[in-house]
Amino acid sequence: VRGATKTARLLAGLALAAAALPGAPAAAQDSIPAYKFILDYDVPESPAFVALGVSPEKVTTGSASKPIVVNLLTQAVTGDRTGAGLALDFSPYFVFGGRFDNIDEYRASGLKRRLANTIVSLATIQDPADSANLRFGVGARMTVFDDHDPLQNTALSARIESLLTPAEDELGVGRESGTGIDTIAGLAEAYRALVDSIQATPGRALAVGWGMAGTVRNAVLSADSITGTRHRFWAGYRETFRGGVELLGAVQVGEGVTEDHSFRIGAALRANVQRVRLTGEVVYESETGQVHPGAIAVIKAIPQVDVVASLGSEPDASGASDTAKLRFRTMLRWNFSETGRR
Amino acid sequence: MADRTCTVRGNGGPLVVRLTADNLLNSGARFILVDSTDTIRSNWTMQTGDDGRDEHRITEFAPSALAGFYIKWLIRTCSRHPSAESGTIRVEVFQDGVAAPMSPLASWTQKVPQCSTGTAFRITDFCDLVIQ
Repeated sequence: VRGATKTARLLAGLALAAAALPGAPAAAQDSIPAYKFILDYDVPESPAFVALGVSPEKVTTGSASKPIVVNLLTQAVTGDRTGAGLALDFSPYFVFGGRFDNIDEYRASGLKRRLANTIVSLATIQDPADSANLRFGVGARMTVFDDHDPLQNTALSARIESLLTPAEDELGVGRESGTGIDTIAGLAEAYRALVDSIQATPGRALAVGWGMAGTVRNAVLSADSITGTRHRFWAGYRETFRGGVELLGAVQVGEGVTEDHSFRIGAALRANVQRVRLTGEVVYESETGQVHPGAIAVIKAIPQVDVVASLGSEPDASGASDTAKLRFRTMLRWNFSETGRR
Repeated sequence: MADRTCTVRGNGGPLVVRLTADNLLNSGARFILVDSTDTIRSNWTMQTGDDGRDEHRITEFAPSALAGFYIKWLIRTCSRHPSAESGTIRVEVFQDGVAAPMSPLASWTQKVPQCSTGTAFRITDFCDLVIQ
């Protein structure tokens, strides 16, 4: 109970940190409506969860950043206790005021585009070995290139703007002014269809990441209370074949538990079936010499929320045993973004 | 808010209306040129595209013939990047390559919806043309 209370305290701190971000949702005021939620294409894996080793998908790649994403993790380990965790991901480039002159600049400036597609992540989970302690993770991930980035598609602007352009009878005479939010007939469907068609075409993507995990003793954050910090670096590559089936490859190098450095190599096959993204993966862990299979389903439950469920084997948490454990994880990814005023 | 005025020279060159939208926004707009009897004398569309701007030259009327006219617009804007939640949408009138004085400026720095949501930020406004 004591550990759970401390977890709740730290999670509340993360939520407060989220609220303090410049781009974070705030309480509704005057004409600002309740926040609308978006999830227009893949919400990426939280880099901080990757650092903590609790990411449902071990073979991770990049996708477009989102302003702020909250990941809620529950995990059930066979023969072990159940843990819970929370990760807060955000895009620092836009949250702290970064801008582009136009879409052409996004395409031309590789540095700014990569900064815009960089995610920073903070996470915490209960320490399964000691409920008085908390494990934390910080991480960052950059999408180096992504052929499926909708902003790289030159046909999309013309299609969107043809739908945005008002019909002749929508603008009458009279000196009047005003602003608001309009629902554009066919825009969401056209956008979705175009993005789907882009994602189904052959293409490549590469993302790189870094993460650091550690333990906060007694859940009190101070310089002396942080122990066991370990760094991890990774790269993920995605090759999309005709029809949208994806081959993923990932390499992770990190400071291991039982040796100075460990690495993990994984490959995965991924396909989208209706509103479900299915992934099968195989991962080799150098620390244990084991190969671990896994399966992940990402279900778009409602337009703004993904439900992630994964089942796979993993090394024993201590890393010292040759045994593997079957692990079932579920996660809610909630992507919340302000999208306009009414 | 006070009516917006745009001051142009009667003996200057033709007017050019420019629409801009920055920061990964897409805008589609319709403009009308209305005379002193509230009759629409010209009607055109503008789309900012990937370079974030579009221009339209008013060739039907010499600036000296635009006394009492006003330009009115309806602009719709949405964002193409999930993290780019805001941007600036601006309407300017140029004459002989120089921005005509406009008061107040027709500029909106605004949070806008994601195009993927099927919604867009709408601006309806106008500018009275003042001929010098």
